Amino acid sequence: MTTQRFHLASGWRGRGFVIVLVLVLLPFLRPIHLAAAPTVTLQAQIFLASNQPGAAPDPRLAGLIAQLRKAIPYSNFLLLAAPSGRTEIGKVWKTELPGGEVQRGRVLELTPMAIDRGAIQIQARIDQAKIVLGKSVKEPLVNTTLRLQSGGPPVVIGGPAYQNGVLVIVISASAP
Amino acid sequence: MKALLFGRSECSTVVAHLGAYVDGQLHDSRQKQLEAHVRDCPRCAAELQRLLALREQIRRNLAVSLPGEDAARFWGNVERKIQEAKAPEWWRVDRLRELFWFYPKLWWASAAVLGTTVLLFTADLVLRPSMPPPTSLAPIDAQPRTVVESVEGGPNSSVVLFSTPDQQLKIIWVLEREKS
Repeated sequence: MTTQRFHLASGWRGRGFVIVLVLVLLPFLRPIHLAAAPTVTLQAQIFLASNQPGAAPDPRLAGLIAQLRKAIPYSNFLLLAAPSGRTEIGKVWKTELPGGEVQRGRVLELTPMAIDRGAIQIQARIDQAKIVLGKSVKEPLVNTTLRLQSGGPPVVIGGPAYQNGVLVIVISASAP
Repeated sequence: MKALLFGRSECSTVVAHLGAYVDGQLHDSRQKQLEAHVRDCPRCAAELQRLLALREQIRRNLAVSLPGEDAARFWGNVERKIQEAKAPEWWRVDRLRELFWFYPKLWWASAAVLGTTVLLFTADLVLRPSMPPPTSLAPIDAQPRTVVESVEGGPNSSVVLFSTPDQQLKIIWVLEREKS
């Protein structure tokens, strides 16, 4: 019957219209991450700054060390460790720092708080354990809130004593 | 004119309702809309004429006489087919097309919603400033700055905040108090 043939043909045209509409809108649809919280990659480069002569630094660090020398009056910067890790917003990432009265008693804690257009807000603190009346007590050395650009310039925390010099910690962050 | 503007999709909607129109089952407003379209569309007018002629032909020529059992079975099948036929869901495309034809203002509303949706998705892409590729030791002038929002020492330490002469590295220096 004529009516039935028209109806079938118009059904296919309707479906084509919907398919074209979806294809047009598809490039504009942003992926929506419904379940996964944003994560941040953190790195702490731990240097021993001293005036003792030492081995030549890693050439890859030459630029960073040159910048540190402009403000921190030490002649030698030795990279002790460069721990890194990923954590979600609001969760703490910890790494041990050398030195302090109590072995393994110095800890750097980094907590990414928020990400806003490539800028990562991070709370950074260094706690240090010390012996008080025979007991190990943890007290803060420094507590700071930073805003780092993802993949941008790091921030430097320095000063805690270690061996014949001081620790200089270079903190950087990046977010996808 | 309307047939030219809305194309064959409008004709398919009209044709789908010609049967109901001939049987007098359309609402007054829809009947008037359909009649207005048929007046302007030779194709749909021809289809209506064919339907009317067919109905007349059936009335004149068809004489069905069924024995009792066959008649009962025949009408039973007819009723079953009627029960099985469901109204098209509102979200089906042909149903949507009917809605657009009967309520033309829906076109404008849909276009406005679609345009707003596209603008919302693309505005962020257009307005967001582009960032340089991130590197940890990139040239000084191109790098966005680090901000120290707050800083405090501990009960046995104090802090000093300063930066490198070129203002590119922020440095927090911890001064531990001498042990007594």
